Amino acid sequence: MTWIRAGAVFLLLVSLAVVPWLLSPYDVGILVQVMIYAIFAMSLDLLLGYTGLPSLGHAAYFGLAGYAVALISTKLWTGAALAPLVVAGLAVTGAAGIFFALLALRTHGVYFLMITLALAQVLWGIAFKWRSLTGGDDGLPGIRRPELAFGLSLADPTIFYFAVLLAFVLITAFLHVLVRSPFGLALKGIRDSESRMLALGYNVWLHKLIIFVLAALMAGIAGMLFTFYNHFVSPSDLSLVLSAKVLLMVTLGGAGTLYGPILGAFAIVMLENMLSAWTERWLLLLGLLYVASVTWAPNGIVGFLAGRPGAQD
Amino acid sequence: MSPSQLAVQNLDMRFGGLEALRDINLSLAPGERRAIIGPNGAGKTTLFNVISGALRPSRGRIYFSGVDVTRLAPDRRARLGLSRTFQMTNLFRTLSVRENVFLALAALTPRKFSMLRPLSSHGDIARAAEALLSDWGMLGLADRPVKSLSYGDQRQVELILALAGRPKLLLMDEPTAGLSPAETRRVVDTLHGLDKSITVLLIEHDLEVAFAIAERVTVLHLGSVVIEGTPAEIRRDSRVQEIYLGGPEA
Repeated sequence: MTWIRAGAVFLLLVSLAVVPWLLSPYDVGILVQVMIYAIFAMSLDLLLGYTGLPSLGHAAYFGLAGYAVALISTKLWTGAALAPLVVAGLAVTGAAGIFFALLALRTHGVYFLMITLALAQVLWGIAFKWRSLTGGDDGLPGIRRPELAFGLSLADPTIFYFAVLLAFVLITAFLHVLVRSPFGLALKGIRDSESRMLALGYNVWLHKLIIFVLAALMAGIAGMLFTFYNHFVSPSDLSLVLSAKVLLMVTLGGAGTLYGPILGAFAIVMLENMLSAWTERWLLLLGLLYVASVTWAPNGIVGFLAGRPGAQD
Repeated sequence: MSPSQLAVQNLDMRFGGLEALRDINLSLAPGERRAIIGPNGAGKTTLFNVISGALRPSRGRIYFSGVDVTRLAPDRRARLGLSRTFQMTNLFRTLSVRENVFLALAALTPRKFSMLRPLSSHGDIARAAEALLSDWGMLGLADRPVKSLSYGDQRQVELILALAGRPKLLLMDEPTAGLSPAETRRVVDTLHGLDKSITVLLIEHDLEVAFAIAERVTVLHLGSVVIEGTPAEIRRDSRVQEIYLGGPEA
């Protein structure tokens, strides 16, 4: 069984590695989007699926990191290299993650959902209104992808594809270990019973703070990649619509499973591309899809395939 | 006189206008087995929540092993050796029995923060969990999710988790509630077989169980301690009979 699994993963990696030479540039672009959204969705799943923290403001960290690298590379330091941009983006996202966590972790359940939503809307409002800095709803266009060493540049679509693939594989591998570690088990324990975890001697608040900030940083990585991919960042990258979309990816794929959000990201990006070709109202269709998935497959695609309710990774 | 394992002094607990506990004083010697009895609404579970740290008292002090823990968070008290079971079974329902026990054991080590190595590489904790389950005769259920277990087995897991950390004081909130006579017998035997150094404070509705386990009994009624004594004294006391059977005016 493990060998079959290892073989399947190997085959998948090999096929992902030859994709740029087989698919059209348009399709490669779709695949890049899938992987970026998969990172974003997995980061939310850490909170929602593993720890039981229903965040409805996860776009805050995605968009904030995007704005951070956009502002730095267009206004402060044009031609900045990748490393300092990424470090700066993560520093901003991490600081916001800590600050928001200190506020949000005072609440539980639906109140947590409301406060994460409100905090994200504050950032959205700033991006929307502070035109001189953020360009308002026009966003910040013309963001260059940074140069790498040895004359390589992320401006090359193939190089960019491999950079995203590398980030996706490393993050997935890290999470694969994390959810199987004692810390990951503690998160599931918090999801199942916070009072029991306290009675056993776990500092539940500290565990939540750590995973909240970690999830924010991962969302930030996705947001930076997305900004470089589009050469553009706008308030929609901080919006409630995006927070809801990533939430749909997690629940559609299977919350509390590692690979569910990847499937969910794949399904939503594909659907969005197909549907938006013939209707402006794909948001409505996504809404219907959400209703259908919670009605007939409450544990997502992964739970549906595994055929047992409450299937957990 | 030896210092007490647990001392509660002049404890009040108010919820708005409701006075749930009034001027409670309690002192348990190390190794003592104490039962708290009293009718519904007497404040027994509230008292447990205050002692374990889930609630902060309106007034009064709580000392554990001589340390003032009145303002300590519940997880800090747990790490000092204060353990509890819950009236309603409170377990990690989607996790396996083995994972439940692993969590209880890992709570005592800094490795609960380890995120870069899978569970399987923490062999010492895994082996300790295996040994514990074997001692309790639950190895056969180790890999079943807790929610698929019978109620009696779930209560048993509750007890394993509470004892896994080798606590100094065990608070048990109605350990036999909802159990069959045979399962109740098993819990009573387990408590009799418990390491004598562990202090036990027990809430029990079944008076025969309370009298069988406890050396001393405290009777709580309407948020106050009515009387404290040996089971024989409690049986004889007319106030207790009144509380349980209804006074002449009732």
